Amino acid sequence: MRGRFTDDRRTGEVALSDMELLKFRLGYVKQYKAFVFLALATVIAGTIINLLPELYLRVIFDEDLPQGNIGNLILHGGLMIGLYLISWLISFLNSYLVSYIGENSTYNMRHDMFRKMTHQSQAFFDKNKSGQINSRITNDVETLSNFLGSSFVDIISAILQLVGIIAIMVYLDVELGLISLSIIPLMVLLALFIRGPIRRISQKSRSSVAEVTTTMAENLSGAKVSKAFAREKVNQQEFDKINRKNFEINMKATSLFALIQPLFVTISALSTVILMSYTGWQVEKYSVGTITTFNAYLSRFFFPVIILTAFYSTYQSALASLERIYVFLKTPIKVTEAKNAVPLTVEEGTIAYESVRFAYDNGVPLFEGLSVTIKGKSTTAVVGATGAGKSTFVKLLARFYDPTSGKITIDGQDIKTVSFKSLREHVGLVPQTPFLFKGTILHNLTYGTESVPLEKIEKVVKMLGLDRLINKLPNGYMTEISEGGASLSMGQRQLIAFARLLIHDPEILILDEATSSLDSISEVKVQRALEHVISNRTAIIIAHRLSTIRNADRILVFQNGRIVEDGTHEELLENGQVYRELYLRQLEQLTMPNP
Amino acid sequence: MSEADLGVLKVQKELFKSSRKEAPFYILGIGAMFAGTQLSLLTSIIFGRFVDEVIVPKDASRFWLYPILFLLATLLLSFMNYCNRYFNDKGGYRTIYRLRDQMFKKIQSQSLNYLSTETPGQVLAKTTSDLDVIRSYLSRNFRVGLNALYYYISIGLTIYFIEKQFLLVYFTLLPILFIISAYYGRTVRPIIKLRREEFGKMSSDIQEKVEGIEVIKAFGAEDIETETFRQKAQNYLDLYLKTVIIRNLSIPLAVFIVSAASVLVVIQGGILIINGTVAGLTVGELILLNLFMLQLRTPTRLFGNFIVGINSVTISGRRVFSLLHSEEDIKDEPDAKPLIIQEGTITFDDVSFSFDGRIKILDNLNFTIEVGKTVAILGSSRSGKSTLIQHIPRFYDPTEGRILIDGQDIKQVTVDTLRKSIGIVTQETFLFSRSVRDNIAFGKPDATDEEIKEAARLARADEFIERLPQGYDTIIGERGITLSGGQQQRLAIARCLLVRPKILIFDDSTSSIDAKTEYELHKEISGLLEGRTILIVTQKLSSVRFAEKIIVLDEGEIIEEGTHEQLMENRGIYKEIVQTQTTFQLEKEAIAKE
Repeated sequence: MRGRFTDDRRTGEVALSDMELLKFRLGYVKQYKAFVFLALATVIAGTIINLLPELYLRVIFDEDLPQGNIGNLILHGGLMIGLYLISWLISFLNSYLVSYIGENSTYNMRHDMFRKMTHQSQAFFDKNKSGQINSRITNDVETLSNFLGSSFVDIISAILQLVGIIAIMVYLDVELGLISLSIIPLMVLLALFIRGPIRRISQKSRSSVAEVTTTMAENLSGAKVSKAFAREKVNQQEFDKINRKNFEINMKATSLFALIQPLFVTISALSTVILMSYTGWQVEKYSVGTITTFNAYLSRFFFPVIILTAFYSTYQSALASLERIYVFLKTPIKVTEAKNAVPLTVEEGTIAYESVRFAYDNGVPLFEGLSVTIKGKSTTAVVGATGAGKSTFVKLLARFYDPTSGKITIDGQDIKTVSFKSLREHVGLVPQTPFLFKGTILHNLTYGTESVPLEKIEKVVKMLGLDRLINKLPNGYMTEISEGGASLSMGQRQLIAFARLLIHDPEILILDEATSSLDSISEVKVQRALEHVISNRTAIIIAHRLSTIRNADRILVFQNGRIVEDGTHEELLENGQVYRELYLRQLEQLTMPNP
Repeated sequence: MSEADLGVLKVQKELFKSSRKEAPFYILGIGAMFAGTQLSLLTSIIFGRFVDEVIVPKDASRFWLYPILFLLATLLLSFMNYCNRYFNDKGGYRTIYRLRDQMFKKIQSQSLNYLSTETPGQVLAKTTSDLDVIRSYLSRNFRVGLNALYYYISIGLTIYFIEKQFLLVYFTLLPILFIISAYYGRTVRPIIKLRREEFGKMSSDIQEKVEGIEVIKAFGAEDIETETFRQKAQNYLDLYLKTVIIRNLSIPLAVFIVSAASVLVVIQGGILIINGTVAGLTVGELILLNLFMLQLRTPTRLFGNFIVGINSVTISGRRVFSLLHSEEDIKDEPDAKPLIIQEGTITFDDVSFSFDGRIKILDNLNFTIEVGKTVAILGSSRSGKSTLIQHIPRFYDPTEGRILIDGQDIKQVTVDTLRKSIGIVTQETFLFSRSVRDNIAFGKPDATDEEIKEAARLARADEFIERLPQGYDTIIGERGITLSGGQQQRLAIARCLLVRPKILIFDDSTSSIDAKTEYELHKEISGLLEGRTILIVTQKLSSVRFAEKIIVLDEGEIIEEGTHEQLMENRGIYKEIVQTQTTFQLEKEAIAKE
């Protein structure tokens, strides 16, 4: 995951030309068209104006001083100051405009990406890891924005500066200009030559830092184990070795990095040496002003050249980011709302799967014509081995996926034709691991439900026996819980997820029971709460707890994408081969082996 | 030393102390830097002389002298710059290399109580990013501050020698530049930090929402979440633009002021030359003055960076030094003796414990665990049972009361011998990302192959290890293959059994192991029991039944204690749990009979 952040190579997943990518990016800049022209104008104006003051310096030294013309001296000096002032104002305006356009358009891009992400179907999240998605929306967009905000403008201004300086020098004196500029190739060569070694040593240095960090992190997480085995001394020796190596690599890197600046300084000084030698030799030909001005321009040459040589790699990594963003935004959403969707109305809550076919993204089929009707206001337990299709079965009902063919109806209405909003209002889902968001308890309880009266919340909380927990918390309902609810026990999180569902109050309920067992006391509490949750609702439960399975009105046994057994607990225990085995295995897990 | 005690000056003092060993490098580096600065000013002087001696009089007789001098000065300057960077970096890297080793040592010897006040990520940041800040301060920002000072003085002196009149411009300029750099240093840094925080918030928002996507969809909250995110992205955008404004208004303003002043000097000097009021001011000197005034840009920028550096090194230094100087609350008493275990009887004598001094996690516990017995502590999650047993190897010290092993107060014995005689398998099995073999031999790196295999066999781990791609040499964890929860726990048990401790503690360490394997494992361990004491902490009933004595813990208090039979007569929680289990048990037997 980490590696992908710094990846500066194109993936090649899609065949996109640079032009197409740029066109896509420009789509985001379109609405700021006027600003873009203004920004371009300021870059050009700023760069040109920035080059002019030194020309007056020459006039001052060559004309005003020898002529003793104080009026002109003040005039030209004043003009210089004026140019400096304008140059500063324009460069400020320019930086602001460029940042404004760049940041606003990346902000829009980021917003679009997030929206796209939340509306993607489950299939998208099955395929992309959370870290990758995160990296797209944060790092890739950031790389792109940095490129547009600085590198891009730097490049334009560097090119303009170089062209301007060369033009002015040649204008002032062709011969002197060519002689002074003869060191340019040397500078470019040097810049290109050191790029490789710099990249290599930087990479080495990064990986040795990563090694130090990993070792340190591992020892922190394993502090208890190290203490338990009193192994501190051995650990210290191991760490010192890695730490030492990191120091040595850093010193190697430094011996190289320290060379760069002196080398460039020497080369750019060479041009001054050439200038001095030539003008000193041909002393009759050159005035004080020309030489001073030349020298001033020469000292400005160094920076734009460096920027230009560094450009290619930033350009490449920005393009790679842009490509990933493009792919992200162009990934089609698999489950979409029908054009003229009607609201779903639920009376009984009877659910029917009619010859449902479903295959995973990789083409492996799961359901090949599955049909089943689930009676309203009944509880159905879904059981079966991992990979039998239980989870996909229930997620189809909530339209996390759509069937390849066939249809699913609720009280006779095809769920593909109803609006998302109404479907989600009537069909509730509790995932296997109760997920809590960062925020207050109240925020989590009322999540996704608009305007709930406090009485209703309190009633639900009391019913599930959560009131004792909430009263004990420092700020009651307003207590902040950390991300994922890490500060609460698994049992408590489960109860809050139940309460959230009851407050949302859907007629149809999908529940994925946690596989890992709770401790004995919490187990009892959750089981009691569950009874409240499923009463008077159509409930489909992917069941792992024995009591849930036994109490269900009906049990569907899944095997390889088919319902192989169907009936009540008693019936299946009697006749169901697969069920019997499954149930026995569950018992085995919970109880002691027979002596 | 707490963070609050470390002010700006105190941090500087600590930095000075901890970098003293590298003093020769820093002195060499800073010396080279001053030489470099002087040489760079000298090159301007050479150019000025060149104009005065060659160009103005149009005298080519000795023109070659100046380019040669200029070249020599530049070469020397380059060499000095190289030494400057090299030696200062060497000093900085060495200092943090030593500091990092010291921090590692400190972290190893600190108590878990201390470490648990912060997340591992926060502690880690101190040893990485905070040390980097210190390094860049020592090898860059600090000398940059000195260099700015050197520039100011050097330029001032040169102006003084050329023409005193211009000092007026110079001294008017100084405070203005100073204020601008200070403003930049003080404002930009906090905003950039804020911006980074907003970026972090945005990123963790995305991470959270991707992980909770099922809930978002189930509750149809896609648009609400998009709006929340939009606000976070908007905040980030606003801060970004604010930084752009401050950046471009401060330092570029200083550059403008300096440029304007350099022109004013030319105008003033030009008038003086034309009027001939000051004898001896040459054109070359005027050019030189112009160049010097322009040079003032450099120290202004440097000074801004120096202030930025001071601010950040104070924050980072505070974190690093408060860790380095933290009191180790669990360490050997001055007269600590090695622990001698004859029997292995553990006694808790009025033990109470509290993390914060308010809520008692353990409340006045009294019990004895006798040698050769298996004792189980049963309690729900968060009942304080893990904290209790972590007192035995002194991961925590009791707030009140004492713990004795064979009559020796564990506070009076050396920590090393205490921990080496206790084998503890903790609740969260932590394995290191190295080979299976190295993990089992963690507590005894020189263990033989036979010992390792025997430990694996006892822990019922041998079978799955042999099925791994490279057997005992398979790398596991982050850099290798992922093991299941049960496999991890069995490896942790093997690791513990290898050192053959006198006292064995299992802290919920069989929670992911199925009942059958657990049964076999406990049978093996019971075989080792002779002369050993075994303590099992669990929330599962199935782990309790090997115990000869059961302690039921709730809210930090012992609510039931005795043998299985005694507890079954009690009608307490224990009996209730057993009865639920029995129902399942009976049902299973009934099915099996059919």
